[in-house]
Amino acid sequence: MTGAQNKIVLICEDEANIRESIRYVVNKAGFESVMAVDGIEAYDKARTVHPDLILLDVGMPGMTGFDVCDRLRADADFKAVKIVVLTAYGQIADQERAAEVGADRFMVKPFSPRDLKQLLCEMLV
Amino acid sequence: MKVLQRLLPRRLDRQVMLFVSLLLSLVMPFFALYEADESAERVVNSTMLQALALAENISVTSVEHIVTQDFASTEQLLLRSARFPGVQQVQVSDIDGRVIGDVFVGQAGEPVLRYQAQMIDVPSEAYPDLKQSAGLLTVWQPIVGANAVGWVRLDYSLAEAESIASQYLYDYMVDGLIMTVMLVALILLVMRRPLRVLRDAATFAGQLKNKHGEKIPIDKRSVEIEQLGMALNETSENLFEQDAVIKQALKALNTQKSAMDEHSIISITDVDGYITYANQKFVDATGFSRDELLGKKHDIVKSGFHSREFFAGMWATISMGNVWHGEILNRSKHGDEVWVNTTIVPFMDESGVPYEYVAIRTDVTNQKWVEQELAEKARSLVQMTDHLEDLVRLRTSELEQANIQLQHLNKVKSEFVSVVSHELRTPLTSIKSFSEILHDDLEELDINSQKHFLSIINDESERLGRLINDLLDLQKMDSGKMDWNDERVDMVVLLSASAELFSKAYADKGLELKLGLVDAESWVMVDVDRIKQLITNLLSNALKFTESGSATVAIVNSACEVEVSVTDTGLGIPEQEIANVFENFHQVNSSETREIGGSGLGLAICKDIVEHYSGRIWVESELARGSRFVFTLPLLENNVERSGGGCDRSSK
Repeated sequence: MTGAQNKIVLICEDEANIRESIRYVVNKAGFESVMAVDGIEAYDKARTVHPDLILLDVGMPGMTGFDVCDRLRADADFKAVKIVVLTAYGQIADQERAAEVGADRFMVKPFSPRDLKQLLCEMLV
Repeated sequence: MKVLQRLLPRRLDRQVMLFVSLLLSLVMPFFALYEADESAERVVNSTMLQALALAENISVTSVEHIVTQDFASTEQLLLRSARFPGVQQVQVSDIDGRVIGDVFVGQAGEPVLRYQAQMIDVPSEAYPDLKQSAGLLTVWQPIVGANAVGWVRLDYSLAEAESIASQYLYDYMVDGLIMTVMLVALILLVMRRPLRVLRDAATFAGQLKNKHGEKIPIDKRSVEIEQLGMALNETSENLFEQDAVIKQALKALNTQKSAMDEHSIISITDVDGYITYANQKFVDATGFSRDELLGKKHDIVKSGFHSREFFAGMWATISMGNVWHGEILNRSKHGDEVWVNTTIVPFMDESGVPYEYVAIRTDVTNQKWVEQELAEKARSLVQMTDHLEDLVRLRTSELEQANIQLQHLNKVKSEFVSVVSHELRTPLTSIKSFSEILHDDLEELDINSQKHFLSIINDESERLGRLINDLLDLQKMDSGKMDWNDERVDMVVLLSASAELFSKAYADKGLELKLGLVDAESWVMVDVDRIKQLITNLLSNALKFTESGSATVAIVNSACEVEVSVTDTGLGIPEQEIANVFENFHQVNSSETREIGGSGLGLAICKDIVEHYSGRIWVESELARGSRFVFTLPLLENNVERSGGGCDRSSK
C-alpha cells in the first residue's frame, strides 16, 4: 500500500521466523515494511530507503545493531529517524549501550506483538 | 791506691780512730821533738850561760892571780870551779897559751890537778868564744885586766844537758802519746753516739729491704743525723706502703694471668722469634710438650695456609713496636688444624726498641667453622632468596596469567550465560509472537497462515527442546554429574546401527553414506547412549553442511585405541575457525551456514564425551572441499584395557 500516510519501517533481523513475526505486526499496524538480514544490509537499506522507523536486532552478523545505530546517528540525515533496538540480551549494560548509540527505544525478546504494535503506533503518529 | 783502700778499716769509727791516731801520731812526735828540742836548746843555752858565767868568773878572779902570779890561787880556783857540775876540765893560760893551771874532773868526779906544761891553742882575738862538739862545750874566755892577759878554757860537759834534753824528749813523747790516746778516746767518746746512730742508720738502711715499715728512733743531736733518720723512716714507710701496693698489683696481675691462662693461649718470644715462654693452653693446643716448644720458633705450628707476605707484614708491624691483630691457621703436632684469633704485643725498653713479643691467642676454630658455615648458609640463602625471588616472580606472573585466565573464564562464563540466555530466548521469541498473533487474529487469518504459524511454533519448540537437552547434557558432563553407564560394546556394531538411522535422511538429500569399516571388531568400554549421541552429532553435521557428495564413516584399530572418522564433501571450515569448532555455541558464520543453524553445542558435546574416555577428537578441513572429523577411544582386549605399546595417550 502506498500513500502519504504510509510510514516505512525497516526491519533488521537475522532470524527468519522472528523477522516474519515482526513483518506481520508492522503490516497489521498499517505500515510498510522493508527487510534486512544482516548489519550491512541494514545500514545500506536505511540510507537508501530512508525509513521512518528502524527496528534493529542487536545480534546480527556483519555489523551489530549497536554499530548500525551508531553510524546512522553520526550522519546528520539520520539524527531524527526513530530507532528501536531489539535484543535477546537484556543486561543493564545493553540498555546503556543503546542509549549511548542514540537509540530511541529498547525492546527485549521475547516480546509481545501487542506491545510492539502499540509502540509503533505511538512512535509513528 | 787500691792496696791502701784494702788496708783501711771499713768502719767509720775505726777510720776516725785510725785517722786521728795517725794524725796525732805524726803530729805529736814532731811537737814533742820540737818542744824537746827547744827545751834542750834552752838547757844547752843555760848550760852555756852557766859555762860562760863560770868562765867569766874564773877569768875575773884569775886576773889578779895572773897579774900577781899567784898560781896556787889559780889552782885553787880551778879546783873549786871544777867541782861545778858539768865541768870536765878547766884551764887557765897566759895570753900566749901557756898553761898556768889545769884541772880535769876524773871519773870519780874529783877534780884533779894536772901538771903538764903545755901550750894550748888559744883563739886569736881576745873575745869569748864558744865551741860545741860531741857533747862538749868549750868556752874560751879571755882574761882581761887592763888588757888581755890570759885565757880561760872551760870544757863543760853537755851530757847532763843532753840527758836532760833527752829526758825532756822522752817526757814530751810520753806526754804526747798520752795526749794522743786521750784525744782519740775523747774524740771517740764524743763521736761515739753520732757514729753509733750513723752505724745504726746504716745497719737499718742495710736491713731496710727486710724491715719495711719499721722505724729507727730519731736522734736530734745533729741536723744531718736527724734528716737521715727521718729520711730513712719515711723511706721505710714508703717502702711498706709500696709493698702493699706491689702486693696488690702482683695479686691482680696474677689473677689476670691466671684468668688469661684459663682463657687464652699465651706465648712469649724473644726479638728473633724464639719461644721463651708457653702457657699450659699453648702446650695443650699445639700438642707439643713445653720442652719441645721452648727455644723454637712458631714455625713449629705452621700450617702453610698463609703466604709469606702475611707473616712478613706481621713482623713488620710488631718490630716497629705496634700491636698486631689477626687470625692465623696453625697445625698441631698431630696434624689438627686450629684457627686462632691472635694479638701480638711488643714489649719495649726505654729507647722504644722491642725486646720481647707476647702473643695472646684464642682458639676460634669452631667460630671459624661456624663463620664458614654461616657464610655458606648466607650464600645459599642468598641463592635461595634469589631463586625464591625468581620463583616469586615466576609465580606472580603465573598467578597473573591465571588471574587473566580466570577473568577470561569469568568473562567467558558470563558470556556463556549471556549467549545461553540469548540462544534460549530466540526460539522463545517466535513461539511467543506467533502464539499471541494466532490468539489475537485467529478469525482474520486464513487456514494456510494458521498452519504456517503453528508449524513455526512447533519447529521453534523442538529447537528449544533440543537446545535445552544439549545444554543440560553439556552441563552434566562438565560438572561431572553425568551418569556414565559403561558397558562392553563393539564400536563397529554401534556405528553401523547409527549410520542405518541416518540412511533415509541422507538419501533424501541426495547424499551417499558410506561405511568404511577396516577392522571387524572394536571392543570398547563405553556408555552406549553417549556414543550414539556422539556419532549422531557428527553424522548430523555432515548431513547439514554437505550439499552434494557423500559422508564416509571409517573405523581403524591401532595398538591401544580405535580411531573413528566421519569425512564429508561439504562446505568445509575456514582455517582460522578450525581450532574453535569444538567450543560452546561456536557456529561458523558465513552466508552459507547462517541459515543452517543448529545449537552450536553439538561438537562441544562430542569433545566432552571423547575426552571423558581419554580419547582425542580433531578435525581436518578445507573450505569447499569438505571436513574430516576424527576421534579416538581406548580399545579393550579380553576385558582389560590395553596399556603401553606404541599408543600415545598424552595428547590430551
